[in-house]
Amino acid sequence: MNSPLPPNPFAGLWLAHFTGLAGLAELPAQLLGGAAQAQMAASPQALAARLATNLELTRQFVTDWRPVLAAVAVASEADWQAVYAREGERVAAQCLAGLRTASALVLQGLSAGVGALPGAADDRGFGEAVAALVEVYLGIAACSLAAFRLLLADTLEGHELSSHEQLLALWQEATGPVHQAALVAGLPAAYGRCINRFNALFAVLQAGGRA
Amino acid sequence: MSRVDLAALDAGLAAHAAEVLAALPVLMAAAPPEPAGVERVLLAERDQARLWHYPCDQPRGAVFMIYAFVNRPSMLDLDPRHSLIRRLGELGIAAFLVEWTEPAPERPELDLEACLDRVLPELLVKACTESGREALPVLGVCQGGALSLMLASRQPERVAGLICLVTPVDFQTEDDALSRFAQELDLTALAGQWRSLPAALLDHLFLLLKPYELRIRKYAQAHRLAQDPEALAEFLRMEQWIFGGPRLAAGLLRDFVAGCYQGNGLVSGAMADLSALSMPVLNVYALADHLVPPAASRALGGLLPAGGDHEEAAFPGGHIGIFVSLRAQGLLARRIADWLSLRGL
Repeated sequence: MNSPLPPNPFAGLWLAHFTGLAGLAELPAQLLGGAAQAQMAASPQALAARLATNLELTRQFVTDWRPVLAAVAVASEADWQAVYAREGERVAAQCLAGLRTASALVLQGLSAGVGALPGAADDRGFGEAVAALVEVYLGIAACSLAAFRLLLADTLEGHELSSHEQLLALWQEATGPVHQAALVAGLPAAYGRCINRFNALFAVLQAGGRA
Repeated sequence: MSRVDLAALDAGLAAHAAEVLAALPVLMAAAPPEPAGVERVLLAERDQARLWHYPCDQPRGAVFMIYAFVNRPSMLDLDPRHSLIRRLGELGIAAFLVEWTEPAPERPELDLEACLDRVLPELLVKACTESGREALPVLGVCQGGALSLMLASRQPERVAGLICLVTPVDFQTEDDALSRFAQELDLTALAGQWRSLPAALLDHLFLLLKPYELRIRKYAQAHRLAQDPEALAEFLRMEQWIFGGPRLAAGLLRDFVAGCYQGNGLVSGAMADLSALSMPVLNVYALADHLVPPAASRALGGLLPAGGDHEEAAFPGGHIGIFVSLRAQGLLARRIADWLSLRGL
């Protein structure tokens, strides 16, 4: 129970999707992709792809939290809360570290993608704006994990947990207010600044004949 | 007590995975859904706007509907089960609907002034003529509601009544996430650089407002649609509406965001003098609206002239739910029809 688990290569990826950060990587392609991409997004095939992705994310989510639940399942009545706190903290830290790595990769990918376009190397503002937005997301993720751990602890206190649907429902219940607070606090403004910089970048791309 | 049943957790997830994986080939082979809206007639086309007429049997009234610039109005008539327009028609209310289209490259750019002073008045006159009336009740949806308020202040003689559905009026309420976004936008650069903006810009923003609900939870049971072709078609029509919006005219967006969101022009009076509106007003808002918070809509009541014929109606549900939920759309249509009938409209 106390031995360290091997690092989960997917830790944090589900978190990127659950918090919305992963969608950020799609932004330039969506903006430049136009109507055809929009239609594709609403096709039966796109729905199939979405379901396959979501299944994988759900598996990752459960995989990450399963060790916590397993530890609680075998803990004594006297110390299950301490076990839960320790294991929960470890998993949350692992997920946040994974998310930070994933977000760095998103940023690198964006920079490499736009940097390869003619004239785009001049525009550093886009990368800075996206980095600022990513920081907001990382804050949301940290708060979401904390809220989820609290609610999961409350639930384990009085109920038996026996399905992934329960876990997902707890995630939604715990993190909805966190995201709502972020919307009021600064996420949309950071997104707006990101769009402004993307607009500036688009001007450079147009000048380079790429948009 | 047992706090965790790991065996049940694992078995449940495995069963769920099996269900999803079985649905994927069915979905991969499925065709896109056919349109299933009410039969309609194109009455007129002006710049970036089309006027559609939805006739009904035994009409006893009509409304001039103004939709938003963003997304398409198919949300009002997705299919026979999800159609506010069809429900209104069943109650004897014919619809004249203004649909905004994508800016054509060869045409001059449409701005908000042209839209309010020329396009909407011309289409309203056309609808009045077609229905044999001097004036019509104007029904605005969301942003279209804000436009309907501006139109009514400019053409009061043609507006017999106003029905504002989930309409933002105070664009700077505390809980308005869209407003927080809009305040940051560099509109001069935006409109200077883009002639039109991809709808994905807003789609992405809307997904960002509720990422878990809209990207994960919404699809939690969607694999079961593979067993029900009609339900799948309904679901996909909604997806098409969400992701198939028209490109936005940058000038229109600039004017609207600057005047309404950044200038809060319906509250200040710069965009329309709402205190001068003398026609009856029905203001409908959704209690769980995350795009237009109830407070943003309800501000209308304090801006209209005191003592006027004004009603407010709250509906359970979200911004879109009041139009497409099977229960809410029926209640909404009935409320609108009754309101019109009581006023002889």
